[in-house]
Amino acid sequence: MNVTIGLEVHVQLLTKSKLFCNCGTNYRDSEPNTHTCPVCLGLPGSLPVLNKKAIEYGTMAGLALNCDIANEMQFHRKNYFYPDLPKGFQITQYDRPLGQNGEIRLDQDKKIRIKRIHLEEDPGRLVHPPSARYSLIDYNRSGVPLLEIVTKPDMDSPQEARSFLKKIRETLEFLDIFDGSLDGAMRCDANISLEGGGRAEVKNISSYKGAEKALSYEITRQKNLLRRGKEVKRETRHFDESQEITRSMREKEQEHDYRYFPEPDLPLIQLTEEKINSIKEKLPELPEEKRKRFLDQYEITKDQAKSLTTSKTLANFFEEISQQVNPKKTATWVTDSLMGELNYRDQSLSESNMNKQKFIYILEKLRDGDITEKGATKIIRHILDEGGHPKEIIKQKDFKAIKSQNLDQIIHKILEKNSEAVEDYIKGKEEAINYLVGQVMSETKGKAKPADTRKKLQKILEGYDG
Amino acid sequence: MDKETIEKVANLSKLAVEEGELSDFKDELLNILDYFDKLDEANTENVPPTSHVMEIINKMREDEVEKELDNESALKNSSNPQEGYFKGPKVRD
Amino acid sequence: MNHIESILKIKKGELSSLEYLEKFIDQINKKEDEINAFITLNEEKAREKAKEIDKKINNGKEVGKLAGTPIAIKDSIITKNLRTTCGSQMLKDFSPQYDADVIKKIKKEDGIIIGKTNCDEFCMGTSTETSYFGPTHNPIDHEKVPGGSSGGSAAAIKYGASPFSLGSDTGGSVRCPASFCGTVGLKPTYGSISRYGLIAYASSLDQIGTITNTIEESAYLFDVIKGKTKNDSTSLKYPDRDVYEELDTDISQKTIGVPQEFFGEGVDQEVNEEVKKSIKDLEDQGAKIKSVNIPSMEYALAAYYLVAIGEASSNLARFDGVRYGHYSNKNKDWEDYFSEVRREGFGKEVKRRIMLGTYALSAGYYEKYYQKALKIRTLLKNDFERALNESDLLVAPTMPFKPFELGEKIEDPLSLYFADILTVPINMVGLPALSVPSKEEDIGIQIIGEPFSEGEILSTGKIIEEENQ
Repeated sequence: MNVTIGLEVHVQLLTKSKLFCNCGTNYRDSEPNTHTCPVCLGLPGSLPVLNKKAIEYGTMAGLALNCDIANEMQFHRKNYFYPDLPKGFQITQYDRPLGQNGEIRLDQDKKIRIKRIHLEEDPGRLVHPPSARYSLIDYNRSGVPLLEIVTKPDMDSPQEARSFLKKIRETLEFLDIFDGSLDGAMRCDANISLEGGGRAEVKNISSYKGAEKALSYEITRQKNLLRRGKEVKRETRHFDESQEITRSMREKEQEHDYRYFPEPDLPLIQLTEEKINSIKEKLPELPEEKRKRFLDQYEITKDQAKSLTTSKTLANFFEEISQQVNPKKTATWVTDSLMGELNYRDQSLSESNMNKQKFIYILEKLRDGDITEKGATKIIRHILDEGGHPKEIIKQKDFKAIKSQNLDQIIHKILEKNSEAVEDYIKGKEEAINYLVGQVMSETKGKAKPADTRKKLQKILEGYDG
Repeated sequence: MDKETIEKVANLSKLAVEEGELSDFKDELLNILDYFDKLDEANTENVPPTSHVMEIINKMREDEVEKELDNESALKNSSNPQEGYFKGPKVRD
Repeated sequence: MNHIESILKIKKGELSSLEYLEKFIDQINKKEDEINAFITLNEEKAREKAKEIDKKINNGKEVGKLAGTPIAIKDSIITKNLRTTCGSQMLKDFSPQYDADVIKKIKKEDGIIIGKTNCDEFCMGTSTETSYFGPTHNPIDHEKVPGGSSGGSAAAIKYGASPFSLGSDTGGSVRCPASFCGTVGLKPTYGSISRYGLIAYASSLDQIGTITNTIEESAYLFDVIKGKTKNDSTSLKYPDRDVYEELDTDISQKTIGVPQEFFGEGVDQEVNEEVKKSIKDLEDQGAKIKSVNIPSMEYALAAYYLVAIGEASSNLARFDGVRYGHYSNKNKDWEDYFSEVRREGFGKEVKRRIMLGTYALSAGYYEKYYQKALKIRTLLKNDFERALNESDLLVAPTMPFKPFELGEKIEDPLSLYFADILTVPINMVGLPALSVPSKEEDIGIQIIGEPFSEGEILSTGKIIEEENQ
């Protein structure tokens, strides 16, 4: 059965002040109703004034998503009532949005077309005290700038929807206009239908994991209905994140007639080609471009280039270390070891205890043979779990690699103790050497380099033979 | 404009019209709408709409945080605020 | 006595601000009960402020352009910590957290707010009869309406409760009461005064204006409050000049346009004649008189109402009983709660206009009503541009008839709408317009000019004023 999915994604733009007033946008760490003013409370007589930065950020996003940017745009009022909406209308864009006809490519080279992007204001936040017969409202979020991204119905699986959202996050984070790690910074509604059924709109999805879960649930639900010969109703459904199911909104015959009309309090916005070009020129390098450049510049593998450009922090981390340490080695250690350890701990690089200086120190010690690869891995784990500087850790935990003369002594000791294995080897049983290497490793608690040990052993044993 | 339309408009405007007021209201509104129909006579072919009468463009402000209302002032005119929140009516979740 | 002279006396220390204020308070004590021009009086704070200003002057400190003079403010304009109701039960206890931009300017120039004047509920009316706080009576004849919606401001000026006042004009709300009460009312160019803090009726039409006894006072007050501010994106930089200094009564080089449609059907003969007498006076002073036309005038009223109520239906959506204003028991479903609060808090005319406005914007009707009205607006704009190319100023009646009896039209909304027929076209095109009394006290002459020609229309008004003295 063919699945058709379209998304409407809302992302919070990282301006300092709100879209139409000078209140701060940092509503997450604040006491309720401490970032408000007459404008975002919708007090009588107040008027909106547009934040220049929001237009700039929106344009950057539009360019990065390959949209046609409007030369002239207008804001409209979308009229509806809701307790979180202070003016009884939302200022948004309607028939003259910021950008149209964009597209982005997912990793599998699948193209997702973007119908439009536009700017709008976020409503306030409703709180439902348990069992209360009223609601509580915090307007700190009221007026925070959102960019709405509407796709064409080009996705055909929940996984693809998830990749799309990740791609959006990655792209906007590269532009420094969005921070996906902030709670609720990306929210989306999804339209999903199966061949032969009606379309359901799923609201209240607030993460890309959630998107995948909600859509998978919907597919199962709709499939089951169709299999039983039942109708899939065209309806709006609500995603319950805690139970990972969608529910019919079952609201009163809700009449949606938003009565859009041009916002009389906000004059037209004109963006000249010159202005658009100047924003384009200032656009930072996007993931795709960075990937290509990394491949050309650093002789790393395709997979490494891809992994290293999934976030701007990571890409910069890699690139700055590569100025001091061999890029190929750096790429291997960052992608194989560090990212694996971070994923295992569900940490992001920026929130972890690792930093460039520490990582450079580890790689340099490794290069100079002062620590083994195993030791390096242990040091990385130690830093992620408990913090500290590698220099101290190496000292305290005795991670220093065994020096050559010391290793010789240990090998001789092992050979004396294991004469049987030695004899086996001399008789031609080559596997016996593995046992001997193992014994050395265990004696040195992993501080000897396995390859060195093997080489040394071979050399000495050849001498026995002769 | 029939009774159903009036009810729909009343719902969109969140104005409860009571059964008794309905027919009076309807007559008055019809009377006015009738007058508005005069516009049908006007030839506006190829005439663009004017939503902003003065030609102003690109009025924008810098992205700066300025003085905000403190919590007490924000809540000053609200009824029964609680713990810094405005109290609102019930919302189905 | 011209009140600008009083300001100068206060500044020189020849008249105390408090003494001056007390004269107006006396007048209020004598007549306010009969007239009902104010919703809220601010006597005590006004006295404190007057004392402060007197002290400043006695200490030899600079004081602002309004130097301790009282001003009556229409209750559609937000005043910090001073009750602002907009004539509605919805806001009967609303004590704003901020000052409108014009109030900030007035306070900065040491003006004193003497009180908040009565108006039609949310400025929707032509007679000040839709106010929740009862009607205002016309000081010229107490049985008559004072006009509206800024009826309280015009009445306060007329009966001597304040030397200066502010009103707001969406479709004639400054000019109509000015005309009915024999005062001077100026509706300036759209964008010339910040609307920040003016409770919105119809955002693309609303403009704050002045009501005073004389032209000079209007010019003086306008200079204080005009100019772009950062809070109103539709406000414009006013040409760098003082309108008051610009007043000039030489009209010999001017061509006066007489728009024929303003003298047509529905306009009383008596009104026509009075206005024509004044046009003759202007001609005698050397002005050229020229007949001009506004062909789309016949659609102006319907188009105006559609734009106004469409925007109003949206502007008044914020009154939901949550953050301010009338409220009720919140332990109920939000849709029922909103409907109940709004049914109780709004008066009949407001509900009527919200319903009609909602309808005019709703799916399937937007093109027929709202969008069509915006197209008529384009036609009107073109017509006025043409007429003002052919002449320098337009002179016409302000109101089609003289003040009517209280209660006479209130039951028939459409007949009341028709009272606005000569004032609404001006708001649709954003031009400045003035109402100045003719030889008949309660018949106003409307003078219309190009954008930012306040100096010119006030100068012309001054000639008419002088002729009539």
